[in-house]
Amino acid sequence: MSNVLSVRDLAVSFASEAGRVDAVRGVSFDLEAGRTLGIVGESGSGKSVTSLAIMGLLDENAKVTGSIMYEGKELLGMTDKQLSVIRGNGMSMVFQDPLTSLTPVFTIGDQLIEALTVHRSLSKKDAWNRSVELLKLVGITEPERRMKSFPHEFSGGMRQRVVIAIAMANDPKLIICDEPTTALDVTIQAQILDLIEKAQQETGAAVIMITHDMGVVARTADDVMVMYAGKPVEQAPVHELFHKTRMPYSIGLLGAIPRVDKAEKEPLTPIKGNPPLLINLPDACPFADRCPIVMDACRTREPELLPVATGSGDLHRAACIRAHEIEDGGLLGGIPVYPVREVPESPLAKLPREERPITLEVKNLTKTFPLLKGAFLKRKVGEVHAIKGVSFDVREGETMAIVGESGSGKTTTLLQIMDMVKQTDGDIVIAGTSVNDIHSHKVERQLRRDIQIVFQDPMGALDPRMTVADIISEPLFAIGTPKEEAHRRVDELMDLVGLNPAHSDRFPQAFSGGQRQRIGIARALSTNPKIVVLDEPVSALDVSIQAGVINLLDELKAKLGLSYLFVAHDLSVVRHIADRVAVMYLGDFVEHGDVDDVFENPQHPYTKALLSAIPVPDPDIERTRQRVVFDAETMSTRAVTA
Amino acid sequence: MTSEMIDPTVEASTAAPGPETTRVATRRLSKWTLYSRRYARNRGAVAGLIIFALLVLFAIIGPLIARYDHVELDFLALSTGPTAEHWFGTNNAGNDLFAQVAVGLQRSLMIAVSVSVGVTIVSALVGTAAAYFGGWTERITLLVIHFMMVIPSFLILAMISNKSGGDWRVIALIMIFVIGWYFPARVIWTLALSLREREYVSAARYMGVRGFRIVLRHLLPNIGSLLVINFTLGVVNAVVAETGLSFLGFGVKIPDVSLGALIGAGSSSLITSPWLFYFPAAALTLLTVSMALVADGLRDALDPTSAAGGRA
Repeated sequence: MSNVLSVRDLAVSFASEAGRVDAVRGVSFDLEAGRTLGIVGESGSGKSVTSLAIMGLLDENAKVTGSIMYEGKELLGMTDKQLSVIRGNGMSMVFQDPLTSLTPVFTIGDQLIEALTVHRSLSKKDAWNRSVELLKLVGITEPERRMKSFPHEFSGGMRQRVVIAIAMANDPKLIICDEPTTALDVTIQAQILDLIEKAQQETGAAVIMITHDMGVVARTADDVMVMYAGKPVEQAPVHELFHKTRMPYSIGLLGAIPRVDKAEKEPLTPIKGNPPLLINLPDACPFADRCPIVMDACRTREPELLPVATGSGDLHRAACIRAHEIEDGGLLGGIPVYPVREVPESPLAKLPREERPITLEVKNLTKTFPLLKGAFLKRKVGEVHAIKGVSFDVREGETMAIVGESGSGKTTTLLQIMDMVKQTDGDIVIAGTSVNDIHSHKVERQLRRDIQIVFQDPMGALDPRMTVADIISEPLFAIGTPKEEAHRRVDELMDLVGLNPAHSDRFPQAFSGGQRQRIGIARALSTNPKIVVLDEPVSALDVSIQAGVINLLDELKAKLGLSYLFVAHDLSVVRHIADRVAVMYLGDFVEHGDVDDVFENPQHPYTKALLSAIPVPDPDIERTRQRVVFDAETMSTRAVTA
Repeated sequence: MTSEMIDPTVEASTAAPGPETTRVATRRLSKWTLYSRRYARNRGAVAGLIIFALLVLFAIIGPLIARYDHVELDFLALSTGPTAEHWFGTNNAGNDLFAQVAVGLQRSLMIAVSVSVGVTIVSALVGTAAAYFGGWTERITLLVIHFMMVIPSFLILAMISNKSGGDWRVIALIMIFVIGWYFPARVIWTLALSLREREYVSAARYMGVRGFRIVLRHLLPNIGSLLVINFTLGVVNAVVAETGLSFLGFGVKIPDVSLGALIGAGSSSLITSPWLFYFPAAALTLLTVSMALVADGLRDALDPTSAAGGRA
C-alpha cells in the first residue's frame, strides 16, 4: 500500500529571547492509508508542534526544515493558499478543546456546510443533506433539528462529535487528532475514540493520534512513536512497544502509570527530574540526566534512532546505546531498569479499620441550588439537587476517594465540607467537632487547623506574589504561630516534601509543575492537620511527574498517619491510592465500599460502565475486553457493539 | 529514610536554576531585599529615581539658596532673561523665576504626590474590598461609584477651591475624594473580581486567614503593577488638573505659586520672554518622565513574571 504521508527529518525551531528553541529535532515516519500512528510524549516533547507543522499551521516565526510528502506532493514551501486546498479537504484535524474549536456565533449546520462548500461546489440542498448525513453518522440524535443549534447548546462530547463530523466531511486521506479526548470525561472519551475509529473505517483515512495517555495509544494505535525533547526515542508497532520496550524513557512512562486493572499497590516508578529546556542542547542523550542506567558514553554524543533486534521480526527502533542490552519487561541483566522502591508501611495499617478513630464524618450532606425566575424580583420556582444526602466517614490513616464525572457533584461535596456549611438535616464532623456547633470565627479557625486542602492546579493555588516561604507559612500565621517557629517549620516541611529548603526565597514561577504541587502539599501539612482534602491533585501533571507526587502522598500518609479525602475523575489513580471509594453519579453515591471490592466486583451498572470505559495501557487486554455502556433511562448496562 | 523516600532529584531540575546550593539553611532573603535588587538591575528606573530625587532636592533646597524670595520684586530687572543675578530670569513684575520654579515645584509635588497616594490607597482598598466581600458591600460601593460618575465633579472642585481661598490642602483633599478615587476604584474592582475566584484565595480562606488580611496579602499585591501605574498617572493627572484649575484662576492663589500657575502665566508670553515658559515646563517634564521611569522599574521589580524575574 502506498504512503499517504511521509515525513523525513522534520525539524522546527522558534526564535525566542533566551535563544533558539528546537521544538522538533528530526522526526521521520511513513503512514499508510487506514493505519493509525500514535505519538506519545509529555508536555513540551514536540508532539503538537509536529502535527501543526504537517498541517502548515505554525506561526511565521517558526523555522521548519526537512520534508513532508503528502500523496507525493511536498508540503514544505507551499504557500498558505496552496495549503488551504489540502487542509480540511485531504488532511483534517481534530483539536483538543471542543469548547473553542467551534465558532460560537454560527450554527452547527452553517459550520458543517462551510466545511463542505469551501472545497467543492455543492448545491445548497446537497450540502444540507450531506451535513445531516454526517451528523447522523457521528451519532447526533435528531440531526435535522440540531443543524440549527448553536455550539453552546451542545455538551462537550457532542461538540467533539461535530468537530469530527467536520473533519470527515470531505473524505480526508489523513486525520490528525491532537489530544482529542483530554478535555472529556472517560465515558465520553470511550465514545469519541470509537467514533474516530468509525470515521477511519468510513473514510479509509490514515490517523495520527497525539496523546499523553498510554491507554489511548494501546487502544487505537497500530504504530507508536514515543517523543522526548523534540525527538522520537522509540518507534515500533504497538505490541512491540508495550511488550518489548527498549528505551528507558518508554519503560519509565509505562511504569509511571497506575493501572486500573491491577490490585497490588506497589509504588509507581517516577522518572526523576524534568525534561530539558530545548535551548542549546548539548550533543548528548537528552534523557541522560534522568536515566537510571546512564553511562559516560551517553553524555558524549546523542544516540541515533537505530533498529534493535527483539526477535519478533518487526521493525523496532530506539535511540539508546544500551537498547540491545535491555530485555523484555524492562529488565537489564535480570534487574529492573528502574529500581524497585520500598513500600512504606504504616503502623496504622495493622489496626482493623473499625478500631481506628474517625477523622471526618459526613452525615446526610445535602446541597440544593434554587431555580430563580423573573428579571427584577427573583422568585424561587424550584430546586436543583446538587448533592442528595451523602453520608460517609474517613478514618485515621485511610484514603477515601470520591470518583465521578463532571457534574456528578463531587467538587460540590468537597466545597460544602471545606466551607463548613451548617447542615439542616445532616452533619459534618471534623476531628470530633461538628460544624453545626461553630458559633464564632475563633472556633472555625481552630477547626481549620485540622482540615487542609491541596488544589488541582499547582500554579493557580500559589499566590505568584509571595515567596515559597511566605506561602508555606501562611496557615501557620493564620493560627498565630510565632515567626521563628514558622520559619523553622518551613525548612522542615520543604525537606519533607523533597524540596531544597535553600530555595524557599524563590517565587513559585521558578519551580516546575510537580515541584509546585509539592509546595501546595507542604502548605497543607504545615498545621499538622488530621485530614487533607485532595482535589484532583495530580490531574494537571505529566505522568512521570504524577507518579512522584502519588508516591509522596503515599509516603506522607504512612509516615504522618494522615487521612485523605481524595476527589478525582481518574479511576486508575484512585485504584492506586485509595483504601475506600465512593462512586458519585447525579449527586448521590451509587456505590461505596472497599476499593478492591468496588473495582473487582462492581455492583451498580454505572460503576461497571465507568470502569469499562478506562483504556488499559496494554494493547492485548485493551483490544480483547468487552466494553459496556450505561443507559441512564433504564439504569442498566449494555454491551458495546462495534 | 527521609532523604531516600522522597524523589531526591527535584532540586537538580532545570526549572530551579542557580548553582548547586548546599542544603545548609542559608539566611532567607527578605522580600524587600529581593525587590530592591531587582529594581537596581533596571538602569532606566535607577536614572528615573535619581532625577526624581534631584527634583525633590531642588524643591527643598532651591528656595534656601535662591538670592531672592519668590515674592520679592526686583524693579531693576523686569522681564530679563537668565543672568548671573537671576539664574532663570525674571517676569514682567520682577519676580525671580528660579525661586518661583523651586517653590512652585515644591507646591506641585506636594499636591500631586499626596493626591496620587491618597487616590491609590482609597481606590485600591475600596475596589478590592468590594470585590472580595461581595454581596451588599459590593452593591452599595458600586452604587456610590456610579453616582459619583454622573455628578459634575470638576465644577464642584472649582467652586470649593475658590471658596477656600486657594489653600492647597483643601484642593488636595477634594481632588482625592471628589474627583480622584472612583474611576480607578471601578477598574480595580473588575480586576479583583477575577482574582477573587483564584484558588490561592480559596486556599487562604480555607486556612482560616481573615477576610481583610486576604485583601491585603493576596488581592492588593496581585494588582500591584496596576496600582503603580495608577500612582504615576495619578501624579501626572494631578499636576494637569491643578494646572487647569490655576489657569482658570481657581487653583493656588498668589502669593502661592505652583508649576501649573507658572506654566499658565508663561505660555501667554512665549514669544517675548520664552524662559518664563520653558523653565517651569522643563521642571514639569522632568517630573513626569522620572515618574514614568520609576513606575516601569517598580512594575518589573514587583512582577515575578517580568523579564527581570528570571534572574532573581
